Amino acid sequence: MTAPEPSPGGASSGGAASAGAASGDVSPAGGPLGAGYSSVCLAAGTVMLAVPTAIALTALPAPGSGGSPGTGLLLAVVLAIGALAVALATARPGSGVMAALAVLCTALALVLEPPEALGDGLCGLACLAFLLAIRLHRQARSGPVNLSAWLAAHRPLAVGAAVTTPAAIAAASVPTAWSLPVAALVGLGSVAVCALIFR
Amino acid sequence: MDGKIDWESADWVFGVVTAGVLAALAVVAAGRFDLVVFGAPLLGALAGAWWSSRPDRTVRVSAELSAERVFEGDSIILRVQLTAPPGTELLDAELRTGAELGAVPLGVRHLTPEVLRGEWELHALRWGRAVVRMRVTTRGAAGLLVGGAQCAVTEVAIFPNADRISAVPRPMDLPDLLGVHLGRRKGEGVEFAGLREYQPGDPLRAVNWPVSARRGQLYVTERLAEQAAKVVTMIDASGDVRQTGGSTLELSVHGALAVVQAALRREDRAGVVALGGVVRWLAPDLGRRHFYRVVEALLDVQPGSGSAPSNADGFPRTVLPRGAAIVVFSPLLDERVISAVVDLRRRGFGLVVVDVLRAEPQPRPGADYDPIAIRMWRLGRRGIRYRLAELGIPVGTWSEGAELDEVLRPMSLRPLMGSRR
Repeated sequence: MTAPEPSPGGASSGGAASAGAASGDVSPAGGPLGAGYSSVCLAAGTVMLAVPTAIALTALPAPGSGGSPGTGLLLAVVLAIGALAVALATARPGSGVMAALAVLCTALALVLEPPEALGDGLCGLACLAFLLAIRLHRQARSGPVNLSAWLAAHRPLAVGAAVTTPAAIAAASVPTAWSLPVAALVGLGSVAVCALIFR
Repeated sequence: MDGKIDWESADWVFGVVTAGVLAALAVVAAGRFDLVVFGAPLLGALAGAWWSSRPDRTVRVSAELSAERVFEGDSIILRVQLTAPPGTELLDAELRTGAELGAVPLGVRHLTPEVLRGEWELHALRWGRAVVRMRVTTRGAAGLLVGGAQCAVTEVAIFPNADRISAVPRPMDLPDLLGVHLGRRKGEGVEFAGLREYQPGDPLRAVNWPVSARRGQLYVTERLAEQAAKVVTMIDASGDVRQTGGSTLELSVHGALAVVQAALRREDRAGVVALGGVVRWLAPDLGRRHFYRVVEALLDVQPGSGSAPSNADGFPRTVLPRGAAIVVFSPLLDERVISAVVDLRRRGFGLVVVDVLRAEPQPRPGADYDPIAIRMWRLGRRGIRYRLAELGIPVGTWSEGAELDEVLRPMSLRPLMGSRR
């Protein structure tokens, strides 16, 4: 009946052992960029930055035309920081700071060189896709993800974006007096289309 | 087993919504409506996630233990699988075991974002019923909601270890039970008690032929009966003083179990009474199964003064049979328990008291009167011991580093004197 005296040494007495700390031991296969959905993240980030980059390339003043070269330089710096943030967010999806910085850089680039409403909408959709891709990548690094279940769980986000984006684009494309009715009409139409698709 | 998740907004949601509103105001003020178009998909996604159906609140827990009953010092393996509702994400799982168990994570991994499987090694540190719980953190609605759940995983019964002792006090008056002790009663035994003249009905094998031949008439040999004793251990759980080498309650439980084990080993009847928050008792009995009944009863002993009696009437009658030797484990701090012990002695029970208090009050630095108060406290304790000794109740102090056997041996040399009723 006599068992050896308990030896608390080595055991975490007081009884709290976190799994979160231990789950950090799960190393992603293939290094930081080779696991999960890093390629999806990079693709979404590239699309996100591509719109302001393309606008910048087309809208920059030609040398000697008298435009402001400072804006172009600033835009280039912002886009470079955005690209770096995309890469870092893909490498370390657990931290949301880099993803937020990438989106902020994109927004700043759009402020510096405003595109058409369609470009803004596409860029916003690309931002959303990038954020969702980062989320998927992060989850995939901590364990296997059932993609169809994941997409089903995130369907409300896609539906929300699908309703608001066309409405906003349409509202921005018409005269100000018509923007609200047009936005409402397009929004309702988008809702109907989404209801038909996801019924 | 299931746990209920309490969902609430994630910490960042408020900040993001505030920043979004401020940005929208700035955009409108600057007349840059095109930027509203940029933010429209993100706002739509946010609204879609917020107004989507709320995630389920149930997190399922399945646990597997390598053993549900262990002794102090043993280690067991706990395997847990947590399943969060579909569409949510299990972020963290924290095992909470209380003071009785220590936990070391062996491996924790996500099978899917909703399913987490973990393995822990649990070390039994202190006797008692240890309830293992798990604090689970989840994330739902695409990260907008964060949930927390408290789940009961399993319960582990940790039995106290018993020191192996041989010295157990026994009463002078032994009951008519077959055992190993030589009492004053004559009967069937091997120990010589005396000679007497043959009476009709005496068995012929009892006739002492050499004596009969010398004296010219038949004499028979009388022998001492071999009887069993009844030993009751009493635990004073009216308080629990923390001290080095184990709290008073821990020492009491370990000591009581050691006495019960030693008594049962020599075929005596042993019982236990715990006086504390809830009275727990087991009437004296014998056998290995009874030992485990005692152990189970001791697991539920909790400190508290609710049931501390002030006289012998406070004890259940069946628990303290006539002629039983009573071994009291007490810090001698509760006057009601001391009065009850005195009352038991006056009613004829043979008692010994083991003082399990090792700690002393410490004087506060700079307080002039504290050393005097402590001296008075020591005098009071000496007075209590003197009072008990005057009544024929030996008191032994279970000091640090001493074995219980050393404490009980001087009190076990002679049978405990009780009074015949």
